[in-house]
Amino acid sequence: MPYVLFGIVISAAVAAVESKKLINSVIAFGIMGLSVCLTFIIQGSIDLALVQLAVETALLMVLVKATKDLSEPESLKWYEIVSMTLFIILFGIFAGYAAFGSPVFGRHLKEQTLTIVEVIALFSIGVYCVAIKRNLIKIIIGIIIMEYAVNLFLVASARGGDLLSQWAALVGLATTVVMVALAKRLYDRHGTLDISKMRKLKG
Amino acid sequence: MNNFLPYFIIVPLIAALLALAVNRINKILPDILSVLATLYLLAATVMLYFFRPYNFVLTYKIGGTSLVLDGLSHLVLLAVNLVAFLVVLYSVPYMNKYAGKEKYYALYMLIISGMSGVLLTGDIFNLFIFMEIAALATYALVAFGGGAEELEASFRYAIIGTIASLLILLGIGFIYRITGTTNMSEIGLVFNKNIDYIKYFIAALFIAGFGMKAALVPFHSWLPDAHTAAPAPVSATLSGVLIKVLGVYAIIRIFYNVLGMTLQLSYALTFIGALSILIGGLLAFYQADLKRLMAYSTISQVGYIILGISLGTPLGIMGGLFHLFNHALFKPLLFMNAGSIEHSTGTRQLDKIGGISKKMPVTALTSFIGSLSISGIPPFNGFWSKLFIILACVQTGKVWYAFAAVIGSIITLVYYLKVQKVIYFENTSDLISNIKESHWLMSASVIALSLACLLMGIFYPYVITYLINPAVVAVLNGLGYGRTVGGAL
Repeated sequence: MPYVLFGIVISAAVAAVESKKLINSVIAFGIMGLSVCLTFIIQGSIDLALVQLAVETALLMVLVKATKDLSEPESLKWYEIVSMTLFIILFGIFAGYAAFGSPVFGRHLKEQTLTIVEVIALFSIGVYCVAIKRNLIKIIIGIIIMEYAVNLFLVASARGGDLLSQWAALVGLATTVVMVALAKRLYDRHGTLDISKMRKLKG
Repeated sequence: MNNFLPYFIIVPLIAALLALAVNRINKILPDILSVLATLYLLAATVMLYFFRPYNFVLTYKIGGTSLVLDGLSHLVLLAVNLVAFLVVLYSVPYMNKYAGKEKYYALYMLIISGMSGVLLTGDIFNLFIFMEIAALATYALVAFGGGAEELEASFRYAIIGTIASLLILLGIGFIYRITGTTNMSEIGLVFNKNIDYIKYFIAALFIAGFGMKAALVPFHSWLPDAHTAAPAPVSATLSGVLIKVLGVYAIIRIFYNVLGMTLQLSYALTFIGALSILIGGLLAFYQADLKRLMAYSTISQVGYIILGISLGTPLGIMGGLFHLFNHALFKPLLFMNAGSIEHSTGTRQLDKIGGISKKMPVTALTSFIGSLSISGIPPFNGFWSKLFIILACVQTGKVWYAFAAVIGSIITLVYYLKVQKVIYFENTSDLISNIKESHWLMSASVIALSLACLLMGIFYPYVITYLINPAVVAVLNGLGYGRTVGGAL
């Protein structure tokens, strides 16, 4: 069961980041959120699963409904790919080294190895999405994927970690609300969600 | 005395709620309420200096966590509340041109509450929560004008700020995984010495996260946009105290008192600091927008603070903390004056404004004082702090870093003199024919800040003895922080 969930989470995250149509990407994101929440339940923190599931996905649905721009501009440059690959490899190596080397305080949680791999993969996918994508909704999706990764790490780390991650989830929720509101107002002003087309500021 | 600590967080929170409520009764009540609340906070901070014994730690226990006030947090708290009070005074006339002034006050009080929380909390996870409260309020305040530029700057700031928060939270997760506690006084004592390599990974996460919050050079790209787009009082707060509380204070506290400073971390931070000084200064030199120039100058000055503190010697830490306090005086002063100029002339472009010193003598004189202070001209306060930092660099044998600090100081002098010459003394513009001096409350707050710059420069030995030294002792206490706080609890 955990392995199936792991597969679903990772593939849904990749689909959410990479799919061409925005509505598909939000649906894939919803599937990913649901699977991560199931992982939370397996790890024994049901409240967190409820908090995360209920609001963030619904918010994105509202945003997609409110904006009619569903296209996804693609502008990958070679140095972006190289730097992202480098970052993901380095982050994966160091984070894995640190996480596997650390003695876990308290109980030994279920499926440590799998969870840590999942955390690192999700965090890297989120960073990639925020750094490469030009669509505001894709950027917000990237941020929330990173948030899921960190919360999963907190839950899986030690007893009492789910208490911390509930607070973190609330904070993340507030941040998401602010970002969605800003994205909506930017869309109203420019008629597009492509951040490279609304660039008035430089560096 | 200990019972005073929670009020630093609760009072602005209540004021934020009340400001929204009393606005229905009378439009002037939110102004009065905010001024009174910040005045109370300033008075309470100053009063604690008289009742807190030298180098003593005050603690307050609520539930599982605690509030801690030591020399370092007291110094930064004084800077925060001083700037907050003067900025609120300044906002009373300035913010009239925006709709929804009571919302501005509510968000501003939330920032103060979050910053006080960051400074006073003794728990690393609560530090994260309070940091997010302050950051969320600033995302909204940067977009307060509602124009396209403001919204875009705010969105970028929100994205980068959230990434920074998540990196910090990941680091906190690692700490919690290893030690099983989030109490800052326990982490350092519990941390296993055999797993030092994990400490460096956590430190890297924190440098990236808090570096983004403090706008150190590889992570600085959000700051010029956000600090330019925000209304002037908000820019003054963001540049003056917010990035220091969320970034610099957290770096000092965590690296010295929680994780423990090592030689490698010190080298990394010193390098980042020197890089920030040079790159921030050079970028500021080429700006044509007044507030944008000051925003880049903030990057450069925060570099000085980090450079001084990361040296790890008493002189360096003293210089860094002194510069932190000084920068909290002269950067709000300069941003408020930029706001006054924009208020009167309607533009921020340097080449369109000229020769306003006859029409706005107070703004011109206080800006001149601020510029001299920030460029490090004696007898103003910036001179002494920069001198201490440069001397500390030489003392530790880092001559090249001292050289970088001197070069950065010269660059600062050049671009601020350029600003002074263009704006105040060169009579080139016809925009200025019907401008007048700003409202007396705006003038009062900038005069107070410039007097503080001058007095702190002249009486610097007393400032160091009574304000800076307790903070230096708290930083140099290192991992002894755990024992000191644990003993006081």
